Amino acid sequence: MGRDQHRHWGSTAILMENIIRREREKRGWTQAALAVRLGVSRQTVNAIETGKYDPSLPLAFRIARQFDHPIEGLFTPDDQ
Amino acid sequence: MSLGSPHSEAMTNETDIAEEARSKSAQRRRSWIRLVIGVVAYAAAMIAVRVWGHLGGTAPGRFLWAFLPLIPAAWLVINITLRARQLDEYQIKLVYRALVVGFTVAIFTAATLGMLGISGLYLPYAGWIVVFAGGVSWGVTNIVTGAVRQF
Repeated sequence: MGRDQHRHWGSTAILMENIIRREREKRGWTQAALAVRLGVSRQTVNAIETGKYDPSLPLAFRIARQFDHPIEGLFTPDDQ
Repeated sequence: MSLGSPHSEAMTNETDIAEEARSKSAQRRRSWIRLVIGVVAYAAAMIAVRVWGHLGGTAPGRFLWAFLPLIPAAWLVINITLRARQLDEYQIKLVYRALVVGFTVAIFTAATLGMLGISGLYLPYAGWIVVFAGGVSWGVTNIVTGAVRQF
């Protein structure tokens, strides 16, 4: 659903899948708590988790640091 | 804020996070209040200009009256700019879409009205039609994309 919305605006970029929600829930963090840790809004965390938005490289690095994972361990291209 | 934090440090972090979330929420509320004050002041200035400005008259002071709404408008521009600086990358992306639509609609509305003017059809308050078309399309796009929730 989120991906359809993404494409609705004409984006032809390869979309990413991620395991942010799983990693966050594993740690018992709420979306709001993760948002504060990352310095973004809760809506942004939700958009990333549901695949509506792919984060910028600096934000992806901050996410990776929070979960102590490499970026490629958290995000994978949709076509793989 | 590392994962391997001792329990006491983790507790402090959770408190910090809750505190920061509250502070962000308060910051957002303050922005809204300032924007509402700006909109109300702008509307009041427009009414004052209509009632006391006598823009259709001949007094030279009417030009000064026409500029009066610029004072609350400047307040609005400053506060919107300050709020925009607080937005994160996803919020900016959503807000940007609505601005693109609003700006494009306003430009083409103005161009269409200009063409009608050249063809001899002068519409009264044409400037307001541009404001209305741009503003409505901006607002509707904000609602459709969910950007309105970001403010």
